[in-house]
Amino acid sequence: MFLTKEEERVLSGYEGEAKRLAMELVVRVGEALGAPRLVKVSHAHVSGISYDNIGEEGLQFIRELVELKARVSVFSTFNPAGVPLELDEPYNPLKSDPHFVSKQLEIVAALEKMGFVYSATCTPYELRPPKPGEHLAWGESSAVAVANTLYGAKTNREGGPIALAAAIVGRTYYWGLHVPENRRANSMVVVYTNGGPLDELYAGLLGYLVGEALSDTVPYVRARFRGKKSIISLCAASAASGNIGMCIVEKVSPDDRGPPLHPVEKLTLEMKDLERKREEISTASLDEAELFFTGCPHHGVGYVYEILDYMSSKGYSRLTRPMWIAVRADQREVRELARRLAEKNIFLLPGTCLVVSRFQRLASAIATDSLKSAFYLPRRHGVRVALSTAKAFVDSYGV
Amino acid sequence: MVRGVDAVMRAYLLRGHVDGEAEGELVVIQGRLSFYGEVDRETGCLNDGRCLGGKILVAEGSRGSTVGSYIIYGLARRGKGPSGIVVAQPDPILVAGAVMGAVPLASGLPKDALRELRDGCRASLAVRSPEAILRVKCG
Repeated sequence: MFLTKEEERVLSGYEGEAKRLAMELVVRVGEALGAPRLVKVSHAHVSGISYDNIGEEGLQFIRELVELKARVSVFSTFNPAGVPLELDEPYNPLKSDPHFVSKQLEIVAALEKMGFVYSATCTPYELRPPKPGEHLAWGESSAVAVANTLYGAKTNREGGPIALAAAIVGRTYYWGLHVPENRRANSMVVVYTNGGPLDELYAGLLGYLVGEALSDTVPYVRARFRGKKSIISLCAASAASGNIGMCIVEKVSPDDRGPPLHPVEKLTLEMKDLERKREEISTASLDEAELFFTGCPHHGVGYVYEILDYMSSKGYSRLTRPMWIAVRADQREVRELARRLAEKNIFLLPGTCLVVSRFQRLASAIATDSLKSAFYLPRRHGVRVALSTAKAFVDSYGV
Repeated sequence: MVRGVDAVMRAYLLRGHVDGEAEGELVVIQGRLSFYGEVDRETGCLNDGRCLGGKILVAEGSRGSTVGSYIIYGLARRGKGPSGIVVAQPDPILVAGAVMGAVPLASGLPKDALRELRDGCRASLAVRSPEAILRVKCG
Protein backbone atom coordinates (compact mmCIF):
# COMPACT_ATOMS: atom_id res chain seq x y z
CA MET A 1 0.00 0.00 0.00
CA PHE A 2 1.21 3.49 -0.81
CA LEU A 3 1.67 5.61 2.32
CA THR A 4 2.60 9.29 2.52
CA LYS A 5 5.70 10.32 4.49
CA GLU A 6 3.44 11.48 7.32
CA GLU A 7 1.58 8.17 7.41
CA GLU A 8 4.90 6.26 7.41
CA ARG A 9 6.05 8.36 10.35
CA VAL A 10 2.95 7.55 12.36
CA LEU A 11 3.23 3.86 11.49
CA SER A 12 6.84 3.84 12.68
CA GLY A 13 5.74 5.10 16.07
CA TYR A 14 7.18 8.63 15.94
CA GLU A 15 3.88 10.04 17.16
CA GLY A 16 3.34 7.64 20.00
CA GLU A 17 2.08 4.13 20.52
CA ALA A 18 -1.65 4.96 20.34
CA LYS A 19 -1.33 6.47 16.87
CA ARG A 20 1.00 3.69 15.75
CA LEU A 21 -1.49 1.02 16.81
CA ALA A 22 -4.39 2.87 15.18
CA MET A 23 -2.43 3.38 11.95
CA GLU A 24 -1.39 -0.25 11.89
CA LEU A 25 -5.03 -1.29 12.25
CA VAL A 26 -6.19 0.84 9.33
CA VAL A 27 -3.20 -0.04 7.12
CA ARG A 28 -3.27 -3.81 7.74
CA VAL A 29 -7.01 -4.07 7.14
CA GLY A 30 -6.68 -1.95 3.99
CA GLU A 31 -3.81 -4.09 2.70
CA ALA A 32 -5.74 -7.30 3.31
CA LEU A 33 -8.61 -5.90 1.22
CA GLY A 34 -6.26 -4.70 -1.52
CA ALA A 35 -6.71 -0.95 -0.97
CA PRO A 36 -4.07 1.07 -2.85
CA ARG A 37 -3.80 3.89 -0.28
CA LEU A 38 -5.48 5.67 2.63
CA VAL A 39 -7.92 8.58 2.47
CA LYS A 40 -8.45 11.40 4.97
CA VAL A 41 -11.86 11.43 6.65
CA SER A 42 -13.72 14.41 8.12
CA HIS A 43 -15.89 12.50 10.62
CA ALA A 44 -15.48 9.14 12.36
CA HIS A 45 -18.46 7.43 13.99
CA VAL A 46 -17.87 4.39 16.17
CA SER A 47 -20.48 1.67 16.54
CA GLY A 48 -20.33 -1.26 18.94
CA ILE A 49 -19.90 0.67 22.18
CA SER A 50 -22.65 -1.07 24.15
CA TYR A 51 -21.15 -3.10 27.01
CA ASP A 52 -23.72 -5.77 26.20
CA ASN A 53 -22.12 -6.12 22.79
CA ILE A 54 -18.35 -5.57 23.20
CA GLY A 55 -18.13 -6.81 26.79
CA GLU A 56 -15.09 -6.71 29.05
CA GLU A 57 -12.70 -7.12 26.09
CA GLY A 58 -14.04 -4.04 24.35
CA LEU A 59 -13.85 -2.01 27.55
CA GLN A 60 -10.29 -3.24 28.10
CA PHE A 61 -9.19 -2.16 24.61
CA ILE A 62 -10.73 1.28 25.03
CA ARG A 63 -9.06 1.59 28.46
CA GLU A 64 -5.75 0.63 26.88
CA LEU A 65 -6.15 3.37 24.27
CA VAL A 66 -6.85 5.93 27.01
CA GLU A 67 -3.78 4.78 28.95
CA LEU A 68 -1.75 5.29 25.75
CA LYS A 69 -3.17 8.85 25.67
CA ALA A 70 -5.06 8.30 22.42
CA ARG A 71 -6.86 11.39 21.08
CA VAL A 72 -9.20 11.68 18.14
CA SER A 73 -7.84 13.82 15.31
CA VAL A 74 -11.15 14.53 13.54
CA PHE A 75 -14.77 15.18 14.54
CA SER A 76 -15.79 11.89 16.17
CA THR A 77 -19.05 10.54 17.53
CA PHE A 78 -20.27 7.24 18.97
CA ASN A 79 -23.30 4.98 18.77
CA PRO A 80 -26.05 4.39 21.37
CA ALA A 81 -25.05 2.91 24.72
CA GLY A 82 -26.57 -0.16 26.37
CA VAL A 83 -28.42 1.91 28.97
CA PRO A 84 -30.36 5.20 28.84
CA LEU A 85 -28.17 8.25 29.49
CA GLU A 86 -29.32 11.58 30.92
CA LEU A 87 -32.27 9.95 32.63
CA ASP A 88 -33.24 9.75 36.31
CA GLU A 89 -33.57 6.08 37.26
CA PRO A 90 -37.27 6.18 38.31
CA TYR A 91 -38.06 7.15 34.72
CA ASN A 92 -35.94 4.41 33.15
CA PRO A 93 -38.34 1.80 31.77
CA LEU A 94 -35.46 -0.67 31.25
CA LYS A 95 -34.61 -0.88 34.99
CA SER A 96 -30.92 -1.24 34.14
CA ASP A 97 -28.63 -3.38 36.30
CA PRO A 98 -26.29 -1.08 38.32
CA HIS A 99 -23.16 -3.16 37.57
CA PHE A 100 -23.94 -3.00 33.88
CA VAL A 101 -24.59 0.76 34.12
CA SER A 102 -21.20 1.43 35.73
CA LYS A 103 -19.36 -0.56 33.02
CA GLN A 104 -21.28 1.29 30.32
CA LEU A 105 -20.60 4.70 31.84
CA GLU A 106 -16.90 3.85 32.00
CA ILE A 107 -16.91 3.20 28.23
CA VAL A 108 -18.68 6.51 27.56
CA ALA A 109 -16.31 8.42 29.86
CA ALA A 110 -13.26 6.86 28.15
CA LEU A 111 -14.56 7.88 24.73
CA GLU A 112 -15.12 11.44 25.95
CA LYS A 113 -11.59 11.48 27.35
CA MET A 114 -10.29 10.62 23.88
CA GLY A 115 -12.14 13.64 22.53
CA PHE A 116 -15.31 12.04 21.21
CA VAL A 117 -18.34 14.32 21.14
CA TYR A 118 -20.92 13.21 23.72
CA SER A 119 -23.30 11.72 21.20
CA ALA A 120 -24.60 8.18 21.91
CA THR A 121 -26.71 8.25 18.80
CA CYS A 122 -27.20 6.21 15.65
CA THR A 123 -27.94 9.46 13.76
CA PRO A 124 -24.52 11.17 13.58
CA TYR A 125 -25.73 13.04 10.47
CA GLU A 126 -28.00 15.09 12.76
CA LEU A 127 -24.99 16.30 14.75
CA ARG A 128 -22.88 17.14 11.72
CA PRO A 129 -24.58 16.76 8.33
CA PRO A 130 -21.99 15.37 5.87
CA LYS A 131 -21.20 17.31 2.69
CA PRO A 132 -21.54 15.62 -0.71
CA GLY A 133 -18.33 13.86 -1.74
CA GLU A 134 -16.85 13.97 1.75
CA HIS A 135 -15.03 10.85 3.02
CA LEU A 136 -16.17 9.42 6.38
CA ALA A 137 -15.33 6.40 8.53
CA TRP A 138 -18.62 5.37 10.07
CA GLY A 139 -19.83 2.26 11.81
CA GLU A 140 -23.60 1.79 12.33
CA SER A 141 -25.18 0.25 9.25
CA SER A 142 -28.19 2.58 9.09
CA ALA A 143 -26.10 5.76 9.34
CA VAL A 144 -23.69 4.47 6.68
CA ALA A 145 -26.56 3.92 4.25
CA VAL A 146 -28.00 7.38 5.06
CA ALA A 147 -24.63 9.10 4.55
CA ASN A 148 -24.13 7.49 1.14
CA THR A 149 -27.75 7.61 -0.05
CA LEU A 150 -29.09 10.91 1.28
CA TYR A 151 -25.97 13.05 1.72
CA GLY A 152 -23.75 11.72 -1.09
CA ALA A 153 -20.87 11.34 1.37
CA LYS A 154 -18.58 8.32 1.09
CA THR A 155 -18.22 5.66 3.75
CA ASN A 156 -17.97 1.92 4.12
CA ARG A 157 -19.47 0.14 7.09
CA GLU A 158 -16.51 0.07 9.46
CA GLY A 159 -16.28 -2.39 12.33
CA GLY A 160 -15.98 -0.88 15.83
CA PRO A 161 -12.18 -1.08 16.27
CA ILE A 162 -11.47 0.18 12.75
CA ALA A 163 -13.72 3.21 13.18
CA LEU A 164 -11.97 3.89 16.53
CA ALA A 165 -8.61 3.70 14.79
CA ALA A 166 -9.85 5.94 11.97
CA ALA A 167 -10.96 8.53 14.55
CA ILE A 168 -7.44 8.56 16.02
CA VAL A 169 -5.49 8.81 12.74
CA GLY A 170 -8.17 10.69 10.76
CA ARG A 171 -7.89 8.27 7.88
CA THR A 172 -9.33 5.07 6.52
CA TYR A 173 -8.43 2.77 3.62
CA TYR A 174 -9.47 3.83 0.12
CA TRP A 175 -11.72 0.95 -0.88
CA GLY A 176 -15.36 -0.02 -1.45
CA LEU A 177 -17.79 2.90 -1.40
CA HIS A 178 -14.92 5.44 -1.26
CA VAL A 179 -14.17 4.54 -4.90
CA PRO A 180 -16.47 6.25 -7.48
CA GLU A 181 -16.87 3.10 -9.65
CA ASN A 182 -18.37 1.20 -6.72
CA ARG A 183 -21.01 3.89 -6.15
CA ARG A 184 -22.86 3.29 -9.40
CA ALA A 185 -26.25 1.64 -9.22
CA ASN A 186 -26.19 -1.97 -10.44
CA SER A 187 -29.69 -3.15 -9.49
CA MET A 188 -33.09 -1.56 -9.91
CA VAL A 189 -36.25 -1.15 -7.84
CA VAL A 190 -39.47 0.37 -9.15
CA VAL A 191 -42.41 0.93 -6.82
CA TYR A 192 -45.86 1.81 -8.16
CA THR A 193 -47.31 3.66 -5.18
CA ASN A 194 -50.61 4.51 -6.96
CA GLY A 195 -51.36 7.39 -4.64
CA GLY A 196 -49.41 9.25 -2.02
CA PRO A 197 -45.72 8.96 -1.27
CA LEU A 198 -44.38 6.24 1.04
CA ASP A 199 -44.50 7.15 4.73
CA GLU A 200 -41.89 5.96 7.23
CA LEU A 201 -43.56 2.61 7.84
CA TYR A 202 -43.97 1.76 4.16
CA ALA A 203 -40.55 3.10 3.22
CA GLY A 204 -39.23 0.74 5.90
CA LEU A 205 -41.16 -2.17 4.42
CA LEU A 206 -39.66 -1.35 1.03
CA GLY A 207 -36.19 -1.24 2.61
CA TYR A 208 -36.77 -4.62 4.24
CA LEU A 209 -37.65 -6.13 0.84
CA VAL A 210 -34.72 -4.40 -0.90
CA GLY A 211 -32.27 -5.71 1.70
CA GLU A 212 -33.53 -9.26 1.31
CA ALA A 213 -33.67 -9.30 -2.49
CA LEU A 214 -30.74 -7.07 -3.49
CA SER A 215 -28.13 -7.52 -0.73
CA ASP A 216 -24.57 -6.54 -1.73
CA THR A 217 -25.72 -4.38 -4.65
CA VAL A 218 -26.24 -0.62 -5.04
CA PRO A 219 -29.98 -0.42 -5.85
CA TYR A 220 -31.45 2.39 -7.94
CA VAL A 221 -34.79 3.18 -6.27
CA ARG A 222 -37.62 4.73 -8.24
CA ALA A 223 -40.40 5.54 -5.77
CA ARG A 224 -42.00 8.55 -4.07
CA PHE A 225 -41.09 9.18 -0.46
CA ARG A 226 -42.62 11.43 2.18
CA GLY A 227 -39.62 13.48 3.28
CA LYS A 228 -36.19 12.79 4.67
CA LYS A 229 -37.40 10.55 7.49
CA SER A 230 -38.85 8.07 5.00
CA ILE A 231 -35.51 7.84 3.16
CA ILE A 232 -33.81 7.21 6.53
CA SER A 233 -36.33 4.47 7.24
CA LEU A 234 -35.61 2.87 3.82
CA CYS A 235 -31.87 2.97 4.53
CA ALA A 236 -32.09 1.56 8.06
CA ALA A 237 -34.32 -1.35 7.06
CA SER A 238 -32.30 -2.32 3.98
CA ALA A 239 -29.05 -2.26 5.98
CA ALA A 240 -30.64 -4.53 8.62
CA SER A 241 -32.29 -7.19 6.44
CA GLY A 242 -29.42 -7.19 3.93
CA ASN A 243 -25.97 -5.85 3.30
CA ILE A 244 -26.89 -2.54 1.69
CA GLY A 245 -24.40 0.32 2.18
CA MET A 246 -25.97 2.64 -0.34
CA CYS A 247 -29.06 3.16 -2.46
CA ILE A 248 -29.50 5.71 -5.18
CA VAL A 249 -32.94 7.23 -4.78
CA GLU A 250 -34.10 8.85 -7.99
CA LYS A 251 -34.10 12.67 -7.83
CA VAL A 252 -32.99 12.56 -4.17
CA SER A 253 -29.50 11.06 -3.93
CA PRO A 254 -26.62 13.39 -4.86
CA ASP A 255 -25.10 10.40 -6.73
CA ASP A 256 -28.15 10.06 -9.03
CA ARG A 257 -26.84 9.74 -12.60
CA GLY A 258 -29.91 7.93 -13.89
CA PRO A 259 -30.87 4.25 -13.70
CA PRO A 260 -28.36 1.50 -14.53
CA LEU A 261 -28.33 0.39 -18.17
CA HIS A 262 -27.81 -3.27 -17.31
CA PRO A 263 -29.11 -3.94 -13.79
CA VAL A 264 -28.01 -7.32 -12.38
CA GLU A 265 -31.44 -7.63 -10.85
CA LYS A 266 -34.74 -5.76 -11.08
CA LEU A 267 -37.53 -5.62 -8.52
CA THR A 268 -40.95 -4.26 -9.50
CA LEU A 269 -43.32 -3.72 -6.59
CA GLU A 270 -46.86 -2.54 -5.99
CA MET A 271 -48.47 -1.46 -2.74
CA LYS A 272 -49.96 -4.93 -2.34
CA ASP A 273 -46.42 -6.39 -2.21
CA LEU A 274 -45.58 -4.04 0.68
CA GLU A 275 -48.87 -4.98 2.39
CA ARG A 276 -48.01 -8.67 2.05
CA LYS A 277 -44.59 -8.05 3.62
CA ARG A 278 -46.27 -6.16 6.44
CA GLU A 279 -48.49 -9.17 7.18
CA GLU A 280 -45.52 -11.53 7.03
CA ILE A 281 -43.43 -9.49 9.50
CA SER A 282 -46.32 -8.86 11.89
CA THR A 283 -46.25 -11.74 14.36
CA ALA A 284 -48.54 -9.97 16.86
CA SER A 285 -51.63 -7.77 16.62
CA LEU A 286 -51.78 -4.22 17.92
CA ASP A 287 -54.14 -5.60 20.54
CA GLU A 288 -51.44 -7.95 21.86
CA ALA A 289 -48.71 -5.30 21.93
CA GLU A 290 -47.78 -4.37 25.50
CA LEU A 291 -46.04 -1.17 24.44
CA PHE A 292 -45.08 0.92 21.43
CA PHE A 293 -41.43 1.49 20.56
CA THR A 294 -40.18 4.16 18.17
CA GLY A 295 -36.84 5.87 17.57
CA CYS A 296 -34.77 3.30 15.69
CA PRO A 297 -33.03 5.24 14.18
CA HIS A 298 -33.16 7.91 16.92
CA HIS A 299 -35.64 10.76 17.02
CA GLY A 300 -34.83 14.28 18.15
CA VAL A 301 -36.94 15.77 20.94
CA GLY A 302 -38.98 17.61 18.30
CA TYR A 303 -40.65 14.29 17.56
CA VAL A 304 -41.82 14.01 21.16
CA TYR A 305 -43.59 17.36 20.84
CA GLU A 306 -45.23 16.15 17.62
CA ILE A 307 -46.71 13.20 19.53
CA LEU A 308 -47.88 15.50 22.34
CA ASP A 309 -49.48 17.87 19.82
CA TYR A 310 -51.24 14.97 18.16
CA MET A 311 -52.54 13.72 21.50
CA SER A 312 -53.90 17.10 22.50
CA SER A 313 -55.50 17.63 19.07
CA LYS A 314 -57.42 14.40 19.73
CA GLY A 315 -58.24 15.38 23.31
CA TYR A 316 -56.14 12.60 24.90
CA SER A 317 -54.32 13.34 28.15
CA ARG A 318 -52.56 9.97 28.50
CA LEU A 319 -52.05 6.52 26.99
CA THR A 320 -53.33 3.33 28.61
CA ARG A 321 -50.35 1.39 27.23
CA PRO A 322 -46.82 2.84 27.36
CA MET A 323 -44.98 4.43 24.47
CA TRP A 324 -41.15 4.25 24.51
CA ILE A 325 -39.28 6.80 22.42
CA ALA A 326 -35.50 6.47 21.80
CA VAL A 327 -33.98 9.93 21.37
CA ARG A 328 -30.56 11.52 21.10
CA ALA A 329 -29.05 12.26 24.51
CA ASP A 330 -27.30 15.48 23.57
CA GLN A 331 -30.38 17.67 23.97
CA ARG A 332 -30.60 19.60 27.23
CA GLU A 333 -34.29 19.25 27.94
CA VAL A 334 -34.33 15.45 27.78
CA ARG A 335 -34.06 14.79 31.52
CA GLU A 336 -36.76 17.33 32.42
CA LEU A 337 -39.00 16.21 29.57
CA ALA A 338 -38.81 12.56 30.69
CA ARG A 339 -40.17 13.58 34.11
CA ARG A 340 -43.14 15.38 32.63
CA LEU A 341 -43.98 12.57 30.21
CA ALA A 342 -44.20 9.76 32.77
CA GLU A 343 -47.74 10.73 33.80
CA LYS A 344 -48.80 10.40 30.17
CA ASN A 345 -47.32 6.89 30.10
CA ILE A 346 -44.61 8.01 27.66
CA PHE A 347 -41.00 7.08 28.43
CA LEU A 348 -37.81 8.36 26.83
CA LEU A 349 -34.75 6.23 26.09
CA PRO A 350 -32.06 8.88 25.59
CA GLY A 351 -28.77 7.69 24.11
CA THR A 352 -29.76 4.06 23.88
CA CYS A 353 -31.77 1.78 21.66
CA LEU A 354 -33.60 -1.49 22.32
CA VAL A 355 -31.44 -3.35 19.79
CA VAL A 356 -28.21 -2.80 21.79
CA SER A 357 -29.53 -2.40 25.34
CA ARG A 358 -29.82 -4.94 28.12
CA PHE A 359 -32.99 -5.39 30.12
CA GLN A 360 -34.55 -8.09 32.21
CA ARG A 361 -37.78 -8.47 30.39
CA LEU A 362 -39.09 -6.40 27.52
CA ALA A 363 -42.53 -7.79 26.67
CA SER A 364 -43.87 -10.79 24.85
CA ALA A 365 -45.16 -8.55 22.07
CA ILE A 366 -44.49 -4.93 21.15
CA ALA A 367 -45.69 -2.55 18.46
CA THR A 368 -43.24 -0.46 16.45
CA ASP A 369 -42.98 1.68 13.34
CA SER A 370 -39.30 0.74 12.92
CA LEU A 371 -38.55 -2.04 10.45
CA LYS A 372 -34.99 -2.22 11.72
CA SER A 373 -36.37 -3.02 15.17
CA ALA A 374 -38.85 -5.44 13.63
CA PHE A 375 -35.87 -7.26 12.12
CA TYR A 376 -33.63 -7.39 15.22
CA LEU A 377 -35.93 -7.57 18.25
CA PRO A 378 -37.49 -10.97 17.46
CA ARG A 379 -34.00 -12.35 16.70
CA ARG A 380 -32.16 -10.88 19.71
CA HIS A 381 -34.84 -10.64 22.37
CA GLY A 382 -37.47 -13.12 21.24
CA VAL A 383 -40.37 -10.66 21.15
CA ARG A 384 -43.27 -10.75 18.72
CA VAL A 385 -43.87 -7.59 16.72
CA ALA A 386 -46.90 -5.63 15.52
CA LEU A 387 -46.21 -3.00 12.85
CA SER A 388 -48.07 0.23 13.47
CA THR A 389 -47.64 3.96 13.10
CA ALA A 390 -47.34 6.01 16.28
CA LYS A 391 -50.61 7.79 15.48
CA ALA A 392 -52.49 4.50 15.11
CA PHE A 393 -51.16 3.43 18.52
CA VAL A 394 -52.19 6.75 20.09
CA ASP A 395 -55.65 6.44 18.52
CA SER A 396 -56.00 2.93 19.99
CA TYR A 397 -54.74 3.66 23.51
CA GLY A 398 -55.27 7.39 24.05
CA VAL A 399 -57.77 8.42 26.77
CA MET B 1 15.17 -44.43 18.55
CA VAL B 2 14.02 -43.04 15.26
CA ARG B 3 10.92 -40.92 15.70
CA GLY B 4 8.66 -39.73 12.95
CA VAL B 5 10.11 -41.74 10.10
CA ASP B 6 6.81 -41.16 8.37
CA ALA B 7 6.70 -37.55 9.31
CA VAL B 8 6.40 -35.18 6.40
CA MET B 9 7.71 -31.68 6.65
CA ARG B 10 5.74 -29.15 4.68
CA ALA B 11 6.36 -25.46 4.17
CA TYR B 12 3.93 -22.88 2.82
CA LEU B 13 4.83 -19.43 1.58
CA LEU B 14 2.02 -17.10 2.61
CA ARG B 15 0.92 -13.44 2.74
CA GLY B 16 1.91 -11.81 6.01
CA HIS B 17 -0.44 -9.38 7.78
CA VAL B 18 0.66 -9.09 11.39
CA ASP B 19 4.34 -9.62 12.17
CA GLY B 20 5.66 -12.06 14.73
CA GLU B 21 6.57 -15.66 15.33
CA ALA B 22 4.66 -18.57 16.80
CA GLU B 23 5.18 -22.23 17.51
CA GLY B 24 2.77 -24.91 18.58
CA GLU B 25 0.30 -27.58 17.59
CA LEU B 26 -2.32 -26.86 14.99
CA VAL B 27 -6.03 -26.50 15.59
CA VAL B 28 -7.67 -26.91 12.18
CA ILE B 29 -11.13 -25.63 11.27
CA GLN B 30 -12.29 -26.48 7.76
CA GLY B 31 -14.79 -23.60 7.49
CA ARG B 32 -15.01 -19.97 8.58
CA LEU B 33 -14.92 -19.36 12.33
CA SER B 34 -17.16 -16.83 14.07
CA PHE B 35 -15.25 -15.75 17.17
CA TYR B 36 -18.53 -14.31 18.45
CA GLY B 37 -20.69 -17.31 19.38
CA GLU B 38 -18.34 -20.14 18.43
CA VAL B 39 -15.44 -19.41 20.81
CA ASP B 40 -15.86 -19.13 24.60
CA ARG B 41 -14.78 -15.59 25.50
CA GLU B 42 -13.29 -16.70 28.83
CA THR B 43 -11.58 -20.00 28.04
CA GLY B 44 -10.73 -19.69 24.35
CA CYS B 45 -12.29 -23.09 23.73
CA LEU B 46 -14.51 -23.93 20.77
CA ASN B 47 -18.03 -25.30 21.09
CA ASP B 48 -16.63 -28.75 20.22
CA GLY B 49 -14.27 -28.64 23.23
CA ARG B 50 -11.00 -27.95 21.43
CA CYS B 51 -9.06 -25.00 22.87
CA LEU B 52 -7.10 -22.37 20.97
CA GLY B 53 -4.74 -21.31 23.78
CA GLY B 54 -1.10 -21.50 22.68
CA LYS B 55 -1.96 -23.27 19.42
CA ILE B 56 -1.72 -22.13 15.84
CA LEU B 57 -5.22 -21.72 14.46
CA VAL B 58 -5.68 -22.78 10.84
CA ALA B 59 -9.02 -22.03 9.17
CA GLU B 60 -10.59 -20.96 5.92
CA GLY B 61 -11.28 -17.54 7.46
CA SER B 62 -13.53 -15.78 9.93
CA ARG B 63 -17.11 -14.57 9.76
CA GLY B 64 -19.82 -13.06 11.95
CA SER B 65 -20.09 -10.02 14.20
CA THR B 66 -17.36 -7.38 14.30
CA VAL B 67 -17.22 -8.00 18.07
CA GLY B 68 -15.00 -10.90 16.97
CA SER B 69 -12.05 -8.49 16.82
CA TYR B 70 -12.43 -7.65 20.53
CA ILE B 71 -12.71 -11.34 21.38
CA ILE B 72 -9.44 -12.17 19.57
CA TYR B 73 -7.83 -9.25 21.42
CA GLY B 74 -9.26 -10.27 24.81
CA LEU B 75 -8.12 -13.89 24.47
CA ALA B 76 -4.62 -12.73 23.50
CA ARG B 77 -4.39 -10.43 26.53
CA ARG B 78 -5.40 -13.24 28.90
CA GLY B 79 -3.10 -15.78 27.25
CA LYS B 80 -6.03 -17.92 26.15
CA GLY B 81 -5.84 -17.14 22.46
CA PRO B 82 -4.02 -18.74 19.54
CA SER B 83 -0.29 -18.00 19.31
CA GLY B 84 -0.68 -17.53 15.57
CA ILE B 85 -3.42 -17.58 12.92
CA VAL B 86 -3.25 -18.86 9.34
CA VAL B 87 -6.21 -18.58 6.99
CA ALA B 88 -7.05 -19.04 3.34
CA GLN B 89 -8.86 -15.67 3.10
CA PRO B 90 -8.27 -12.65 5.36
CA ASP B 91 -11.11 -10.32 6.39
CA PRO B 92 -11.30 -7.05 8.37
CA ILE B 93 -12.58 -8.64 11.61
CA LEU B 94 -9.68 -11.07 11.79
CA VAL B 95 -7.01 -8.60 10.70
CA ALA B 96 -8.20 -5.96 13.19
CA GLY B 97 -8.33 -8.50 16.04
CA ALA B 98 -4.85 -9.81 15.24
CA VAL B 99 -3.36 -6.29 15.15
CA MET B 100 -5.06 -5.40 18.47
CA GLY B 101 -3.89 -8.60 20.16
CA ALA B 102 -0.48 -8.66 18.40
CA VAL B 103 -1.20 -12.17 17.12
CA PRO B 104 0.93 -13.18 14.11
CA LEU B 105 -1.42 -13.54 11.13
CA ALA B 106 -0.92 -14.92 7.63
CA SER B 107 -3.29 -15.69 4.76
CA GLY B 108 -3.19 -17.39 1.39
CA LEU B 109 -3.12 -20.99 2.59
CA PRO B 110 -4.28 -23.08 -0.40
CA LYS B 111 -7.65 -24.78 0.15
CA ASP B 112 -6.22 -28.27 -0.53
CA ALA B 113 -3.47 -27.64 2.03
CA LEU B 114 -6.18 -26.77 4.54
CA ARG B 115 -7.82 -30.15 3.90
CA GLU B 116 -4.53 -32.01 4.43
CA LEU B 117 -3.64 -30.39 7.75
CA ARG B 118 -5.00 -31.76 11.00
CA ASP B 119 -5.00 -31.17 14.73
CA GLY B 120 -1.82 -32.03 16.56
CA CYS B 121 0.59 -31.40 13.67
CA ARG B 122 3.55 -29.38 14.97
CA ALA B 123 4.01 -26.05 13.28
CA SER B 124 6.00 -22.86 13.33
CA LEU B 125 4.88 -19.58 11.81
CA ALA B 126 7.10 -16.64 10.96
CA VAL B 127 5.48 -13.46 9.65
CA ARG B 128 7.29 -10.46 8.29
CA SER B 129 4.74 -8.64 6.18
CA PRO B 130 4.18 -8.80 3.28
CA GLU B 131 5.55 -12.35 3.54
CA ALA B 132 5.13 -15.28 5.87
CA ILE B 133 6.17 -18.89 6.11
CA LEU B 134 4.37 -21.76 7.84
CA ARG B 135 6.34 -24.95 8.51
CA VAL B 136 4.32 -28.00 9.48
CA LYS B 137 5.37 -31.46 10.59
CA CYS B 138 2.69 -34.10 10.87
CA GLY B 139 3.94 -37.36 12.33
